Amino acid sequence: MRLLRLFLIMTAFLAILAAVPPACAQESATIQALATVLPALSIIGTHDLQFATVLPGVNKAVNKATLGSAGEFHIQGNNNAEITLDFTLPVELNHETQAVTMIILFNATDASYDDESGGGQSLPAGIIDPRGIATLDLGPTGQMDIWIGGTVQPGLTQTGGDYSADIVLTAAYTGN
Amino acid sequence: MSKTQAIHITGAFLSAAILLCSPNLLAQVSGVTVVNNLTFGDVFPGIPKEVDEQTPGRAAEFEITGIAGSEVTIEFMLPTYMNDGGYNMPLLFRQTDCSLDSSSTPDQTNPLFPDQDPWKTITYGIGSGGIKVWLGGKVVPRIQQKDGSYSADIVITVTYIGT
Repeated sequence: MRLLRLFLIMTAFLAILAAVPPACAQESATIQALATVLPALSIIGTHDLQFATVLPGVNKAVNKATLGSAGEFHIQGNNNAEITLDFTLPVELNHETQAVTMIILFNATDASYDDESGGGQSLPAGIIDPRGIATLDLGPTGQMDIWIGGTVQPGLTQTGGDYSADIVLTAAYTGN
Repeated sequence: MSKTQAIHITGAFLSAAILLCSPNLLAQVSGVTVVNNLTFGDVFPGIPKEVDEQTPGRAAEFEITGIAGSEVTIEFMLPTYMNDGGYNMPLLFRQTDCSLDSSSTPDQTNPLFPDQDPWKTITYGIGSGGIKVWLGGKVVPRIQQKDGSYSADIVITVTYIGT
């Protein structure tokens, strides 16, 4: 009887043992995801492209190297980072009050840049075509200046008054 | 039941309990070691950057050691952002961003068990050289992402499941 009771108890125990999930060893470890975000690009229009007084029927050009008249942008970003430059150029200037326009043209050599390696606006580091996308490197301290000239073509009967249009320069990191 | 029998039975229970928690069982997984952090390096604002799990030195790398032939489950606690003070940056993990290799000569660039989903529990067997686990990911900085050093914890939990 005692043996039977012992047998039953052990059987019950083994049944419990079988029902118990296996013991689990567990280990954890932690690592870190790490990234260094570089400074964002900033771009500022520092000077408008100024044609000043224009005579009807007489084209007027402003050279990119002309201080005080050429359009100018300043870019600040990460040192030596590669960027793209993309101008959005107007095809005409709009009269300040009337629905009349004046043609403006840009050619392949109408923009220049200085990536800290040149001598400024009059002796820039290079020339870029403002009608396409340019890929350049910022200077050693992350700076670049851009200048742009252009030509307006007033008609013989061009309405007098002030004309303007936006020139937009978009700069973006390439990731390189 | 006599007192002696009761002691014997209690002893049997204790032995079984000890057996259940025996060091041999608990030692099936003997350790998880961090070999490498998930390192994105320099990141430009507005330009997502991906680290492939097969990129040595960049991908996260863990090493699991234990008795060969034992099966384990591997679970990750994955962050969705990296942080730098009060700023955050999205961090993404794809369903194929994890690879494992339990061979004696694990190869990160050509692992035995590639393209695993780190969002799900992964079951794998410990090999003679343990298990190497690699994890990739992708950061998506905003265009005006604040510059700085961003980080986040990735936790791996390895559980022995027998066999």
